[in-house]
Amino acid sequence: MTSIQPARPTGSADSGATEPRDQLLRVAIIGNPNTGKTTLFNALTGLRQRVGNFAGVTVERVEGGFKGPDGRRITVLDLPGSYSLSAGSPDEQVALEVLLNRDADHWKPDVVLVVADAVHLERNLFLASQVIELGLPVVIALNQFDVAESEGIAIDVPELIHALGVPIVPTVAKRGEGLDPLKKALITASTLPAPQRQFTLPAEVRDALAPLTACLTDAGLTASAAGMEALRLLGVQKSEAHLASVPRLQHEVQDAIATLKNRGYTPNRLESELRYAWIAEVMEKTVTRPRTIKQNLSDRIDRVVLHRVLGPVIFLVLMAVVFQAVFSWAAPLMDGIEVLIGAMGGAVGDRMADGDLKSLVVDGVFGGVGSVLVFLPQIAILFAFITLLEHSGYMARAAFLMDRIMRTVGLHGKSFIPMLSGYACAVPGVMATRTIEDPKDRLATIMVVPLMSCSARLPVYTLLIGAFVPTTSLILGLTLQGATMLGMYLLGTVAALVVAAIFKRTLLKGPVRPMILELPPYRLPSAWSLLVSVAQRCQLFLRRAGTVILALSIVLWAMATYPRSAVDASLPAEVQQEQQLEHSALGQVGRAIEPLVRPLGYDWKIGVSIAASFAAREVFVSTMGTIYGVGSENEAALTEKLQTETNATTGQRVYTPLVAIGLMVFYVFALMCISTVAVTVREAGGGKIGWKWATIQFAYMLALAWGGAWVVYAGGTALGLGG
Amino acid sequence: MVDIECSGDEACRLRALGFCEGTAVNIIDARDAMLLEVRGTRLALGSALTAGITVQPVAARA
Repeated sequence: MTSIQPARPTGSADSGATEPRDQLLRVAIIGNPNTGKTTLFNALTGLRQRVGNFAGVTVERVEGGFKGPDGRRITVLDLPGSYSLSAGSPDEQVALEVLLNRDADHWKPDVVLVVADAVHLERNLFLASQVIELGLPVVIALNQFDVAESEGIAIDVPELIHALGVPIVPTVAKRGEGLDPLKKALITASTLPAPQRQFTLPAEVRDALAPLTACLTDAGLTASAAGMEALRLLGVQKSEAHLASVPRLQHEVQDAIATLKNRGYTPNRLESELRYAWIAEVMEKTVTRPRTIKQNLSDRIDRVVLHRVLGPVIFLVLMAVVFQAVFSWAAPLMDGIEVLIGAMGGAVGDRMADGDLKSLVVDGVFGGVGSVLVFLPQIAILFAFITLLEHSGYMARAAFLMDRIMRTVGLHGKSFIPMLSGYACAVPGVMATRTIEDPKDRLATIMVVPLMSCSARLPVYTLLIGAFVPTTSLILGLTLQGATMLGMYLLGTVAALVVAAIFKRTLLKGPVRPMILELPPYRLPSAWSLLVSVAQRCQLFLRRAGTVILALSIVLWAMATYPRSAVDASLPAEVQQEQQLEHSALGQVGRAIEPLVRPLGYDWKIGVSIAASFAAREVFVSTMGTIYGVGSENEAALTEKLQTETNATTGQRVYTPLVAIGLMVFYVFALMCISTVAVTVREAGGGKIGWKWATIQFAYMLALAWGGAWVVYAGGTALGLGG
Repeated sequence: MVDIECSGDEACRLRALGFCEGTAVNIIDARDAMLLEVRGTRLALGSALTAGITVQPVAARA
């Protein structure tokens, strides 16, 4: 599918080609899941990747580029992994649309690269055989060739090329082998005629499909693609978006089905039967498998990993490791970043005159940037683990083990890891939901991940529990304080499961899809591919979420600084800060929302702190410190202040244990993290649809927070527990 | 030997995997979810599906 262009005058003598060397070559990559397609994609494109979404759907779109051996620019679009072109999911639907050039973006591929797994060639050939019939040049990368060899599988590649009629390049993507021949093959393929179906349909079938095929060619498909679609449609029950505009399509399909039934065929499995029959012949001629069905390493590992008792134990241990890593390994790195940013901010600030500009740069900009960068260690660590688990093949086993439990609330087995990571930080947790294929399951998981008590809530819990919960011992070393902390974590978890169940029954209602999970053989992932994947995620976070967080940090800084009021310079610095905050825009917001928080037992000072911490929860403690005039760093003094603070009018104590618990419940439920909002917008689909779901998430969590805090405070007071 | 009853999307995917009536499958573990092997691919099928699948034993290949 190359367009003919007038030959450009060249200075050199080799201007025989009609193709300008700098014309962009578009390659679409498709393949079964677990073939190492991503590894190959990463090997070809390195870090030159752009991640977005396919228009109008939540399917992720990754495009990368590289230079061919002749200097030509090649752009590669990674299509979602599919077992066949028959759309079972939005992912596969998108792939089909792009390949038929009926997608919303009109990204027309010049060559299709099919990544096939040499170890599972039979199954991979199903998709390959469909793609070959599309009327586009095709190249097959026979990946994991080394694994096939080590298992004693011998593939006669030249014979296979002959049988399929397309160029085939053996590759070992994780070691970067075969890449150069592959690149050459892609460029050459673009100049060759398109391949054709290599088997013939029985005459009866061909006749029965003729009207349907004609109908499709009339609608604009090439003859070859129409033939492929006609056969494929026999097994598809529903109407598909990319063919919605074809007139009389359903009618023709039904006719073809009826005709075939009359002739004794079972239409819905006809495609599978015909293709696999042909594939069996091809396999016979080209592939020799070892005779003995020996139990290979993967089987032996699975006996342990999927063991009824050992399996879950191993899983829990692994999850504990991941959790611990995200929670504590990241901590020194995060502290390091904070110190570094602080030092840089300080160094810059020292060169500036005191005043608002200095404050803006140091507190607003550096502070804002710091609050963004500080997430990177957690994101990097979590994604490193997730990628490791996925590429090694363990993730499928984990999903299998967790599936039953997750399904009781209507979630997916793969929802477990994002939710677990939410205990450390919701930001990487939300990003991790991309491994969930079903869009409704994915959205439901995104909606509830922030309810898992993240580490940013810890300072709030610590402050309030430390001030108001007595240290009475309960059992086995557990104190009332510890139990309260645990209670808060449990509250968040239970709420997450309940809300997920509700979402799946209402807004995100969808059929409970039975699990069909491929358990790929275990393998050692490529370190390079891992690095590229993690770097890509971090890059994405920095670009999207980072800009939002930085902007909002500056806005908040402005609200806390302006309008400036005249303060008595003779007062101590902390008191000056207190008055400053009180009269600023943020302070006024606090006063304005006081009526809203009074039913919860709070005054305007807590109101301001809550308002400020909507950007980031940790801000609560420092804002409280400022408001109570003890400075933002002095927690001991703040604790004392909280315990003794009395309401000027009623003479009663402002903070009682009841108020404190209610406040903690508020923090369990409320979404107070613009970083989470930013990633939710992106993972829920970006643009309008992303903002819609982020708003729903924020709203329901705020409602829960207010409601929960009110129940605790009002209920407790009614029961006489106040004071 | 196999007989399958399941809804459109899943049936589609199973057929693409080469899993349809008349295919030889190798059952690894049959609990509430089923683990089996078809055409060299190891699959785990959820209980909702396995309820609709009937398998007949075939004489072991020599």
